[in-house]
Amino acid sequence: MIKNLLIIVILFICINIFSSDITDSLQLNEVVITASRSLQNSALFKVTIDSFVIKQNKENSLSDLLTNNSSVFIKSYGRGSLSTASFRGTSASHTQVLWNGIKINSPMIGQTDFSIIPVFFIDQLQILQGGSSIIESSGALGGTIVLENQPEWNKKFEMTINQEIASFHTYGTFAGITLGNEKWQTKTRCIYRSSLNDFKYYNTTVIPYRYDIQKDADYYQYALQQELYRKIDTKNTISFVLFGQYNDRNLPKIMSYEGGKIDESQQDKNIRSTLTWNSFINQKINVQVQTAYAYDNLQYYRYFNQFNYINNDSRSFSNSFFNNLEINYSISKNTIIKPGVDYNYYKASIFDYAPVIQSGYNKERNEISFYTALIHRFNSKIVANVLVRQEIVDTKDIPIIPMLGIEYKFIQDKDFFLKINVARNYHYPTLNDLYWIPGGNPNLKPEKGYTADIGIDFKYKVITQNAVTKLSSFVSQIDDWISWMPTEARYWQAMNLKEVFSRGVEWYQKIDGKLLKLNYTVIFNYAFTLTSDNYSLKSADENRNHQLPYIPKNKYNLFTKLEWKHFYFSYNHIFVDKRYTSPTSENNPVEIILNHHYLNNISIGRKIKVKKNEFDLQIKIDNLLNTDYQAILFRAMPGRYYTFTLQYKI
Amino acid sequence: MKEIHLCILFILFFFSCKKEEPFYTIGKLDSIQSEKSRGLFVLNEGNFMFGNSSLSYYSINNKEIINDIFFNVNKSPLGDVAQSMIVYGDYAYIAINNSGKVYVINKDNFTYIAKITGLTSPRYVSILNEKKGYISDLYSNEISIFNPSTFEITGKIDIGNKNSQFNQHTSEQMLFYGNKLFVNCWSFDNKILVIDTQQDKIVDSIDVRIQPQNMVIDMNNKLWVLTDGGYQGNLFGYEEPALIKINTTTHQIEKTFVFNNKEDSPGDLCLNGSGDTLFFINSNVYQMAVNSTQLPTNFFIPSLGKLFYAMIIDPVNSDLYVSDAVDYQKSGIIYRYNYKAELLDSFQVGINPGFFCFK
Repeated sequence: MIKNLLIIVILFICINIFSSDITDSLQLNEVVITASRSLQNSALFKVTIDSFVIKQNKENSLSDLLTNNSSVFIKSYGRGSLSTASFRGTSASHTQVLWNGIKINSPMIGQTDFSIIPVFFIDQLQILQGGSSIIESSGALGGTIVLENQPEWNKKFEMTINQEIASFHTYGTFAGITLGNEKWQTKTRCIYRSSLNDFKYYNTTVIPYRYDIQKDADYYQYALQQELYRKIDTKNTISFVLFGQYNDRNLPKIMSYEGGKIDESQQDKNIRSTLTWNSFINQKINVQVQTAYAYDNLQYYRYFNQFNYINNDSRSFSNSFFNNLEINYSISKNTIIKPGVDYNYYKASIFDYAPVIQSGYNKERNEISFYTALIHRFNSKIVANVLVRQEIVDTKDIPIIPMLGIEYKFIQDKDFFLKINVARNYHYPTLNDLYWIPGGNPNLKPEKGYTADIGIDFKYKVITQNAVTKLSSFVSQIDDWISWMPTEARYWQAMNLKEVFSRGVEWYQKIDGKLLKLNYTVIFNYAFTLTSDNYSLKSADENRNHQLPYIPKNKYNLFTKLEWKHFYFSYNHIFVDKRYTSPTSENNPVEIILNHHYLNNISIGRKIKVKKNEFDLQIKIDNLLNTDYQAILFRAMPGRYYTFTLQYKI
Repeated sequence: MKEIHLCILFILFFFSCKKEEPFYTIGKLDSIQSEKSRGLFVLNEGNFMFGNSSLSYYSINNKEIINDIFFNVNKSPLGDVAQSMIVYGDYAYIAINNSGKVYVINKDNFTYIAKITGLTSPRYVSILNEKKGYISDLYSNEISIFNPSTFEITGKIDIGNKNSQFNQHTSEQMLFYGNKLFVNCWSFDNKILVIDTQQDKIVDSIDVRIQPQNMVIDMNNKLWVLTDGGYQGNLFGYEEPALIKINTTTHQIEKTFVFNNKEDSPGDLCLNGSGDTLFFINSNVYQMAVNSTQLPTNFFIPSLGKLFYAMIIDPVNSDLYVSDAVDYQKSGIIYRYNYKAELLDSFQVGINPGFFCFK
């Protein structure tokens, strides 16, 4: 490995030495455009992930991007393994993911696996916090992560090819081509990634301690995305996006395992497609119609090779159809009303073919949602955003889901807002919660959440440098939180159990500008989250007010990017506070605590332009200080590793 | 320009420090001294796939519980789902079901001695003499034979049944009687296998009811088997559980006591020191004399909302220890009663205290 690295570094140096004679590319300063704040997104708590952060992570999965560059906490089972989001102390099914307007959480499990979402296919990424998620859908008690693709009407032609070589026999090829003119555009992107994932780690869960090489953790992924945009005339646009991916991975054992060989693997297949028609009927009215389809297939296999015994052979399929009609009517320049309707249909089936299980279920779900948003500007200082959703799931009415947001502009000419948002939200039980055999409970009630956010949103200048501060505080109470508990009947059952009270602070800070000849950007995300579970089930501990497992009280990340002539450098510093691993109390004698850890990632890159051809070379070092850490107890994480990428763009 | 490249090289090779400590903290570190007097081990299973099992030790003389003794002494976690343990000679042998290994520790100062790895799903350990012991398994259709002094696997007994779709036979508890070893086949099965310990071969099998879970041999040398009856949706079958009395010489079933309901889930069958009274948990704790003609109708100790999980009777003074799993997530509690079912003591242990073992 060191020899390979040396070759790569020497190559890098040589290319730099020889390229200084070639025409340099123009380094454009970033221009900050301050448009008048649109009424549409008033009084909402949301964070937009900067586009260069997306570019920095283009070879990674969404899991890595969010862990290192947002306040969302990602719970990861290891490199390439299942990663779920935990937003403000809520569970993975309380974080909704929207892809071009459609919900992609599995209707069966209710979660999204962030480790198989490639960042390379994302153009825009936003996080809607707490009650603000209701503008897009119900059920996201923690928040929603919004992935969007958009046309770039200015681009007539662009082609990129990216090759990645990284530690642990990791290889990735990323390619994209964009073609078009003012009336139409086509974008195609594809990926192939694979990794043996045979990283070395120090195993302190066996006796004696020793260095181990991670086994049975290899994975590979193919993915393709095709976008088609057509401007029929100045008023009508049609967009079509098609996504498909196949992911195959072996699942490693926990570190303390020293038994015989067991094969455990998972295959994920997903297809998503969406067709949207957007029309400006006149200057005041805009209509959007969307229809979409998603297919999800997950196979999980556990097999004891020595005895030819299949322990699990679970295959699940779901077909989801989404339809949405939304009218955006600007009654006046101070008032907008947005009525809309969603109709979604899901058909899901799962069956485990293992000889001793042979069971599963086959179910459908219909979801209808009527909603109206009313946004009104009272005067130059105050804007209110009220939204109401009425949902019917499988002919059952869910109580009304309201959201009220108020925005107050402190000073006339400055971008300084105070925002308040209160909402009540419901999360319907997943298909597995209701119908899993054994233990599914068709009598489950929806989980209920109340959230309140208050915060400030401030764009300003510090001398000549640009700054953005978003500071907010939230409280949230979730009742009837569904938990699977072991029962005396020897299997686990889904129950409306917990009452979780979370509160915290989120801080997003950005500074960018130019110092001497350096362009720099610094982004800081901090989240403080306190959660406690007050459910009424019997307990040995008096102390029930205990931080929920795997929720750190504090976490922050700092991302710095420097650009100088054709060079760029970035540094990412991450801190995750200690986490409990079980619901026992602080004073419990056998509580296992994951210690806090710091992570450091750096990258250095160089852009070279030869006429119209652009080359970009980059070396990344992740976990620079070789920190020993875990995201989940006893599941190994890699130490320091290197990634070398070469991009060609024309 | 060239200086920057040199700097880069320096940075790349500069950071090579490693932290060589565990990244986790477990429990409170109590001081542990060597304990030669009588004591009770409490083995806590933890949660499946979490790796949070632990070992607790209750000193009977001092009436003191020490938790997490394995980690405290050996600085490494016990593993994933510690199933059972046995004390033999100077050592204690612990079967860690989902970590594929058996740990051997010193029974007085709890230090790690050795481990037997490469197993599939080890359940129970039984030791015949200092040269031979057996390890039963839930998935492999084999009983491993090992040497308890050298800690090496010396052989295997194949107990596979190729004609079954249910991965038979698996092995669970094991009891010696003369030159015989009785083994119950619990998972999707209904047999007791009889193995000759000199030849290490199956010599007989006894058909009992669905899923025999526990076995004990009483003062009259009768083998008692408690079946759990399966469960709703079990492809092998679902019926009422039963307590079955078997003659250890002829292998004939002498009496079968069938429970009233399929929903009953009795377990944790154990005997008192004199071997004349059976105890089991069926939500509550029940006792039954070995010459009884019917199942007990009244409980011995009521659960009163507790989740009774495992039990043992002190062979010396007939104290009864029963564990409460609470909610299977939080740490469990052990209750100590005297032979008159009066509560004497209670103490907190690890998660899912599933097995007791006296030393």
